[in-house]
Amino acid sequence: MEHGILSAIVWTPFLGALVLLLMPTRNENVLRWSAFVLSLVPLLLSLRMLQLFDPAVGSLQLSENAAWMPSLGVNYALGVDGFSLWLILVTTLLLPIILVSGWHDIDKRLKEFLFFMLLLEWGMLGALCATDLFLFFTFWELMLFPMAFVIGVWGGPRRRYAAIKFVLYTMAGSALMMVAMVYVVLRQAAATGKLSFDIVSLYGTPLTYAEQLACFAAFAIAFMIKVPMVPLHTWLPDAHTEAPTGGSVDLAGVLLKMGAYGFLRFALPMFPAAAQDAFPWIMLLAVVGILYGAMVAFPQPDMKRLVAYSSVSHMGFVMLGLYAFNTIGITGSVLQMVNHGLSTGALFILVGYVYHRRHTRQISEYGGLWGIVPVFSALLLVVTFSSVSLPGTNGFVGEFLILLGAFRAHPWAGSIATIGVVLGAGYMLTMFQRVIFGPVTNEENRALHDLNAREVWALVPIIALIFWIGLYPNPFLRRIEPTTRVLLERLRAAGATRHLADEDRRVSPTAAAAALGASPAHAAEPAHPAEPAHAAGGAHP
Amino acid sequence: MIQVPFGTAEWQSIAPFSLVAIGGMIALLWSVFAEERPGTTSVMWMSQAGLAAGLAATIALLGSEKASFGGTFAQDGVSLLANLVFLLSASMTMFMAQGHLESMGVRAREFYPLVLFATSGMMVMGAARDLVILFLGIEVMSLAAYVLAGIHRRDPGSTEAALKYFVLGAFATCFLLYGIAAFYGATGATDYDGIRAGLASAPRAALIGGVALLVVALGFKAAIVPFQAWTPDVYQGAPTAVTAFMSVGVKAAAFVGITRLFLDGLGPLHLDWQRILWVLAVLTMTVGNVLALVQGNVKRMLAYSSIAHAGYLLAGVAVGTSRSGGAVLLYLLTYAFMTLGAFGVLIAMGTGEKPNDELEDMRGLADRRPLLAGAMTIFLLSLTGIPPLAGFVGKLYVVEAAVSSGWFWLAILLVLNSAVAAYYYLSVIIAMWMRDPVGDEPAWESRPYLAAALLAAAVGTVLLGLFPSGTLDFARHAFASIVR
Amino acid sequence: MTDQPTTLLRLIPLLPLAGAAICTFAATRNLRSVAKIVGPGSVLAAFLVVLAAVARFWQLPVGSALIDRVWNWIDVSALQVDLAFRLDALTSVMLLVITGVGFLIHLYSLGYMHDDPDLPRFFAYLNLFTASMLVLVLAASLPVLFIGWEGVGLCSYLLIGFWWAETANADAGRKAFVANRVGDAAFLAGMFMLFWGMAAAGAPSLAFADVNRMAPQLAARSPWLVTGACLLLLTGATGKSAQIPLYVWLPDAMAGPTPVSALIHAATMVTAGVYMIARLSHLFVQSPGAMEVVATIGAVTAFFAATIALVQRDLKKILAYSTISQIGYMILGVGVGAFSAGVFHLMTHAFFKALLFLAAGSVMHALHGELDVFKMGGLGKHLPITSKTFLVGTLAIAGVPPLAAFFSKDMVLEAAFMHGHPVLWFLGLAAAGLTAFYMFRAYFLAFAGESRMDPHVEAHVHESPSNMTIPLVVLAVLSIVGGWVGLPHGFLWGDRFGEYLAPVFAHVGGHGGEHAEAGGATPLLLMLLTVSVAAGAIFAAWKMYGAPSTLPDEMEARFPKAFALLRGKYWVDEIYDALVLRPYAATSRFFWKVVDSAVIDGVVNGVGTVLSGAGESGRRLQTGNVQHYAFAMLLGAVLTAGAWWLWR
Repeated sequence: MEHGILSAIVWTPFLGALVLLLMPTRNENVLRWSAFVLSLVPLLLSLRMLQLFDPAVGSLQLSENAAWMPSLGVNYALGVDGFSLWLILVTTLLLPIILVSGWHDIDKRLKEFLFFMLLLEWGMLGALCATDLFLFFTFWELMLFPMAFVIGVWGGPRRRYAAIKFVLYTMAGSALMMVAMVYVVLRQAAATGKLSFDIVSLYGTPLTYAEQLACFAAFAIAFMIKVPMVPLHTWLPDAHTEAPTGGSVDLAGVLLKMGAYGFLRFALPMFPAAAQDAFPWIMLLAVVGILYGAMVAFPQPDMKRLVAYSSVSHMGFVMLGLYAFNTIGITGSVLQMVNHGLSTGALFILVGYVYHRRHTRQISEYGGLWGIVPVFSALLLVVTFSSVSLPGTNGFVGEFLILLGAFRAHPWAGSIATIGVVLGAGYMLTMFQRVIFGPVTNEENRALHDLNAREVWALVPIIALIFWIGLYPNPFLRRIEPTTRVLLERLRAAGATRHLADEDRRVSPTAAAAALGASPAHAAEPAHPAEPAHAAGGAHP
Repeated sequence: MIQVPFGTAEWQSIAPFSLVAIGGMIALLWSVFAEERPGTTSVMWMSQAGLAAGLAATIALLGSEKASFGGTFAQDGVSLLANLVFLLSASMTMFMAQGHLESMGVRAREFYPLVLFATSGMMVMGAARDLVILFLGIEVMSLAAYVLAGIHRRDPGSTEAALKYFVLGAFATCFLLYGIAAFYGATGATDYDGIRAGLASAPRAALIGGVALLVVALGFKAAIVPFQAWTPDVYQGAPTAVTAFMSVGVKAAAFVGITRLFLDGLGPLHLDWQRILWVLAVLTMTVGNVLALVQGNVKRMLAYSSIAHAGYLLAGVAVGTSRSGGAVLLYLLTYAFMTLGAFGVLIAMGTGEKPNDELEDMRGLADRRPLLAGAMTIFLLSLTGIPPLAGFVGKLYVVEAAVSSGWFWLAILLVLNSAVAAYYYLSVIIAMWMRDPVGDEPAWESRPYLAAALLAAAVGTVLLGLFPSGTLDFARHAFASIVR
Repeated sequence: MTDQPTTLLRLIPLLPLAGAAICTFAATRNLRSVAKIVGPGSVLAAFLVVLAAVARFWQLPVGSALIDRVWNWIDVSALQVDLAFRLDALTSVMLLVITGVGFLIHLYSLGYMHDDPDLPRFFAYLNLFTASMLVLVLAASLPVLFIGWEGVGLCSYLLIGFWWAETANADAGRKAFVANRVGDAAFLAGMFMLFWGMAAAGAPSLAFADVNRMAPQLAARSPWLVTGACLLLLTGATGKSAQIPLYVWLPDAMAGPTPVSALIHAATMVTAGVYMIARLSHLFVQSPGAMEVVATIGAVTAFFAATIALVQRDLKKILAYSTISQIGYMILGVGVGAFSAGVFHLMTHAFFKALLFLAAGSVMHALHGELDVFKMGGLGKHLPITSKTFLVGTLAIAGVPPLAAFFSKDMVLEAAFMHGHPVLWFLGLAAAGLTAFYMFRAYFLAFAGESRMDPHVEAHVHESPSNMTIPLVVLAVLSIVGGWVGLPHGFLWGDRFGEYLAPVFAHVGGHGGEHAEAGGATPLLLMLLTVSVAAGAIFAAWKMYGAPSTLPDEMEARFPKAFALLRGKYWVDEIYDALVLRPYAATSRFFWKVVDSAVIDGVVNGVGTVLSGAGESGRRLQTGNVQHYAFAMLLGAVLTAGAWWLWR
């Protein structure tokens, strides 16, 4: 254990949850403040992790390793790389925001709610930090239950159905993943004589093609359910709609990303040949998901359900970029996971604000809110346009990179997916319009009071990030890209090169210079993203 | 019969179960002579002392594996670990029964000595390497178990359960005897070494008949489909503490017996029986789970769940390697913690008037008794197989053993079954946490012994899940010498 | 060609952006006076900075540009995009138009929106729009252009729906954004195609300078790629610039406040497509096929929209269709390779169309929102400045010499004819006639003749305040003299405008430049033809609407179907509704109700139902009867033995 920072990040929420549980008080404000302060600890620690993180390194870093179940080769191993770094930060950032934004939302069993939210954070952080397959699987399953409780106890009228659907869907997927996981580990042990669940050593497992295919399928189904990819998505609208605001935010913000993250961390590098051959299918499902999610979102009468289906569409983009198999696409896809977490999280918080006031999420119940709650409307406007990826907001950068990458991988998939950009504007603006514009049709809305300072401040960090990532995404991209390269190198080394675009191969400086008629510094530069030396347009004085 | 020596090794190897049996007798006598003393606490403690003596003997023997009685009575890692399971379940059962039986109006002091007798029978089963000794163990255990099932004499349900159990048990015993006879006829031996030696020249029909008969008899005790039909009725009818004991101890003993018989005595025939056990395992887990889905009574649901778990265990046996044997043994231990815990919660739910074991009764438990609900949640999640709880590692090792021997479909069907099972475990959790309570709060009594047992079960469920390595290594190592 | 680095350019969009921020703040605190100063002030400041920047640019050697690299925006692998601004001749024209005309419109808005309680919000949007538009024209690369490209779309959305309480306004805003998005999606796809083409050619870049420089090599490597990219970019342009087939949003966009129509939907945003094609002239000329499509779309749109404008009653709708038609000319211009002619018309159009819209706004202001030209008449008496400036605008758009559009329109038509597109030229000529007709029809109906106004309305008719009329006058002057920078070749000082822009543009091969064959008699003949067509059309308009006449009614009685077709705007909205929107909504609903809820969830829930059904039936085997149980055991034993026996 060289660092311990990751352990600290993972375990402080757990300790926080215990502290909260053992707190003798019934005073709700004390509980809220305690939870808020406790949730700041992992946030600060993860900021420290960001500081320690070396952007130039693409492989796992800040690693920790300790024996856990020696007879099985299971270790308590943590690490972070460009894929997990930002997701960890989103996770730790979202909890304080959830707590502040929903300060008065929970009207029963507050202590348990806060306990489960911290426990959920623990599970998510554990899954993101784990670099041991067993440890990952443990957290993967563990985070299921706090979420199920949050949905089932504090959710809407169909909360129990939603919770059980959520759990069963996920468990059905992870059941097969468990068998495949065991199989891979055993194959690796047969080859090396050593049982190990260490992810990096499992990357090199010698598997026949048929074995790869079967194991990839098992992993992929588990992850596809989580993403969720059509047609394995129907748990999501129910879970989102029934969950309380905080649950929805975490669900959209982090939980869904676990699926895509699983592909990057496990399914692709462990089974490169099978992953490569799944290319047409995943591409197809991603594109179908983009369009289908957008289309089903369009007629939804319930705001949360609409946003939930929009998540299906957005996550389709993420999968599309991920399967572009090039640096641009995958980097964009990882960034888009962060973006979607922020934008959709903010959308759910905003929906929660009006829901808390009016106790309905039916779009038809609203209308004309601009004149009544202008601050709310303005924030919703910003977030809506972030969600439809207007340039200048975070969504654009991610979507641009994803589509650019996808275009390289499969021009047709890229082209059709681009239609999603139009449909996204269609459903989001329709909702925005029906809620915010038009005459005030429901007299009850006239009494709505605008957001107070707490509610606004809860969203300020997200709004700031929306513009930051939109206008200056390089600090984010710079830390993702090296890891993307490592993954692609791994795929290349494994011979899974059929869909690998040669976009990554450095253009030789002289050739590019000749082509551009400019100084060679420009073409050589992509290798050093941090350097500011070249001017746009390739023209140098 | 061959001449067997009777020396130190023999004394040592019979010490654990003998001490338990003697403890039982002393307790029985004490309960007769101490008739005037109110309560049963002293008998309980006296019985616990007997178990402790058995435990001490077991622990003392750890690491000194040797065969006794000419190899017909094993003193090896398997029997020692199995003893731990039996003693644990007996001890916890007694703690949990404290106050529970009285509140139901059962003032039966003989309960505790009976548990000890049954336990000693189990310990014999766990060590038996001879069909006749196995028979002895089964009968000692079963006779006590029949009585235990009917210990609530004024309750028609309990009486009916006992009668059913007894009649069908006697039926199964016939199968066992015929099976033993068939084996003796076919191989000229009842001890496992002898059977192994005689298998090659044995007539096929007699062998098959013998194995089928033994499968019925042992499958009956282990509640394997299609010999499980008695289980729900008896489990539901018997007092909950007895159900817990039966579903853990009796099943564990049966499984150790099955594992030994098939892996050891019938080891050379494994290509034949593996497929049969494969089918039975899948059948058992599927029937158990599917039927558990539709139960509205938690106790009955747990009865079906225990059938499903028998299927998982049998899958481990079917794989037939030392890995899988170790997995079965570990599974039994994990299963003991979580199942005893779950039944313990049901016991805590009951009051003198009402058992409160319907799903409806669980509603809102988290509001009324958060600690009890929390404990139940841990047990149910463990039964579901959520890492890092004990139930998960148990299942994981069975899966691992299956996969490592190439039994993929068995592994896949097992995990799919456990995904189905999640539904009914979850519905209890949902009732406890996500529904509002109905009716008035029952007049629950405080039962410190029960609370302690539940705490122990919960801690065991968590710790065994987090750190299973040592136990697993021990169990695997134990089987390495058996599976040849 | 060298680029001179500077940090001046970033100020140009930043000033209105800051203005937008301040006005937003002012909107939350209801600080109207702050917004009134900052709103127009920030644009004026930007205009001054533009002047300074252009002055610096003029000191550079010909062919150079100012470049302002703000920071490295997106940097992944081969993709390098700087947030960089670049000022060359084309940009300088656009900047002057946007900030100059933009400032006038801001000024006008002070009067027009004087009584609106949401004035600060209005200026916030307007400033944001100006900033986006400036980003669009300053961008040194396609992705940065796209920031402005979608930014103006957003502002257009917000401004069309400015009076949000009316559902129709909000609908129009959404329609505008979604229609624009259709184009934008194609634009994105074009960008992607171009990028990978560039990357394959060894120069992964989307900077205009790189693309233009690499265009010949790209075309040599893969002509299809260039054509495809150009067509996709063109589709983007048809969205933004309201061309067939994506023009449908523009007429509805008139729902916004009139200054918005002037600024966004006449002078600036809708010209973005023209600008973009001109900006990538070197790429487009590499694909004659794509150019052909561009020119055709331009000419057809010019004619098509003009026909619809013939019968409209709503003054702003007339101007809207006229805008579509005029942008068609610009597209035609750039499509036939006369890039500077297209941009020239863009500039003059900005003057006279802004003028016309603002004048229309002045009319609305006076008539309390009345827009039906048949309910006006004789306004010249009441609104002397408005009517005179409107007449100037009408004369300009009709192509009457020597007003601005005479030169620019003529230059486009001449280029179309000379570059070998006689059919397109003819369409353009016909559209010119139609334009003169419908504009004078509007003028005569509104400002001349007898009043048809509601007496209540008429009693209150008054000329607009000076902060509204001054911009009108300034624009009227510009509409007169604005065309004089681009006289026909060889006439007085000649086409100084074209010469100024020449270094930026590609030259259509084979003809040696836009005016290769100039100097012959043909251009003069063409010019005369155009003028006479316009004159004839003006006369016809006067006959029908200027003097009391029954001619219009007789015409309608004779050609009822033609009138219905035009009044119904060729039912394009209805066709889109039937072919796209309704099927989309129906499919969405089908996916939701049938596929999602019934099929997929049906399967999911069905698994549960099947399992519990099996459980229920299995339950019945549990009879509680000991004999049955014993029988089951026996059966189990037999089956076990049997299976074993057989399964060998």
